[in-house]
Amino acid sequence: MSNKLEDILDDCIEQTRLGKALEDVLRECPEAAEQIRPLLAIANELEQLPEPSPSVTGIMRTMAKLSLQETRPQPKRRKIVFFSRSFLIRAAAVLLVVMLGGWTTVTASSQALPGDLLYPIKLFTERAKFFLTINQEEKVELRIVFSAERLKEAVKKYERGQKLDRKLLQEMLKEARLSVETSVDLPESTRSLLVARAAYLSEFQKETLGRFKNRVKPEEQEVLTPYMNMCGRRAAWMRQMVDEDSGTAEPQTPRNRMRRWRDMCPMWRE
Amino acid sequence: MNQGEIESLLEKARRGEAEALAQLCGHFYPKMLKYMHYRVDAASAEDLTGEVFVRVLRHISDQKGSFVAWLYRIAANAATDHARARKIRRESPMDERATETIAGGDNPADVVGRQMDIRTAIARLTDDQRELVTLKFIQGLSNSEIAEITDRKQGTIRGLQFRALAALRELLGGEEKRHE
Repeated sequence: MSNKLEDILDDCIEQTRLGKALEDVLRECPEAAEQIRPLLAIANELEQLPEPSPSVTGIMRTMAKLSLQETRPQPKRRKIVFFSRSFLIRAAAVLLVVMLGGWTTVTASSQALPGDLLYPIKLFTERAKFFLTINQEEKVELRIVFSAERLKEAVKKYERGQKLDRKLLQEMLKEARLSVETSVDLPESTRSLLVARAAYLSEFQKETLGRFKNRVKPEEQEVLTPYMNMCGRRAAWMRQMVDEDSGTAEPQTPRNRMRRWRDMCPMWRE
Repeated sequence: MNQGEIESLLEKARRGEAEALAQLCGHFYPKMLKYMHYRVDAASAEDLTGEVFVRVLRHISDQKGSFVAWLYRIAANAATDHARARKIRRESPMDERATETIAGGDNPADVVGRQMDIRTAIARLTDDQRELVTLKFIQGLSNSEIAEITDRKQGTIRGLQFRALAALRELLGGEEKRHE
């Protein structure tokens, strides 16, 4: 009897889901109608329960969790915090808008600058893309792209009439450094190619900063000088790294290689 | 979003396109939040929803088969881990207040009261029953989808459904009798 009731109940639920009225459904199973009726009523009530509304705080916490995900393969490294608290509040608000308004906003965010409503989405997208990239070589290339993007943002932001953003320039240097660090355990030929590319980027950034320096206010020119010099010195050191690396006869572990590179480039951590 | 669109986004997300993953997460966020809201409790629902998407982000490249079933399995595991970790009492303060409400009627306050009673009753079901009720009636999934998520036969699901609704009837009847 119990099995039969289970099947009748399930059949009745399916029929009500298809839009049939409760009484019509019950009329088709008169022998079980009295037992099934209250259960169907409860099923109906369950289906009418309200949707919880996503809160800004909840989405903010989700964003924080996602952004705090480890983005480097080495387990011992520290976690990278991408967003400050105020930044996350804006990001959460944007995510809410995006959730309600459609994800074309994510694409639209690619042109956003720091301070723009969509900038958190741009950074989140970059980090997610990096996290989802498994190939180490592609990760290095992404770092190079991020570094170039930070300089582009710094220049655009200044041209918009805002102050020179040192944080963006620091991020530019950091991403370039990480691109080289990420390439440390790649095969020699790939590694050399990527480090050479990072060297080319640093050289290009030095030149761009030089041209940019001529357009900024005199008091801000001094701010740019150390970044420009750093890019130039790094480019030279990276080229030397590639030469030394390919000329070394004895096999090296990635750890030894990294130590060697750092010894060769004393300003590496600057 | 239809199945074809989900598949297309999934394919892109597996290849590492973050926009596609973001679009999938955005689409399923409200569903996951609702699942957690009734499966665990309102206070923990948002944190656990976040946890689900962290797990999605970590494992999307390994995902195979039905994305929806995979997503709900992640959610179910997150809910189970949460319950184990905290030896959860499944009534939130709101649920406790619900026992003081009077069921039935068209008055908005009565409707809200009834909904609270139902949430309290759901919280008192066994874990299997609560999972079934959440997937079937709160999420609106079919028996075959639930079978894929929970790795149970459809016959077992029909039995569990019957027992869950009967238990809810008993619990809600008990609530009503106490208020008489």
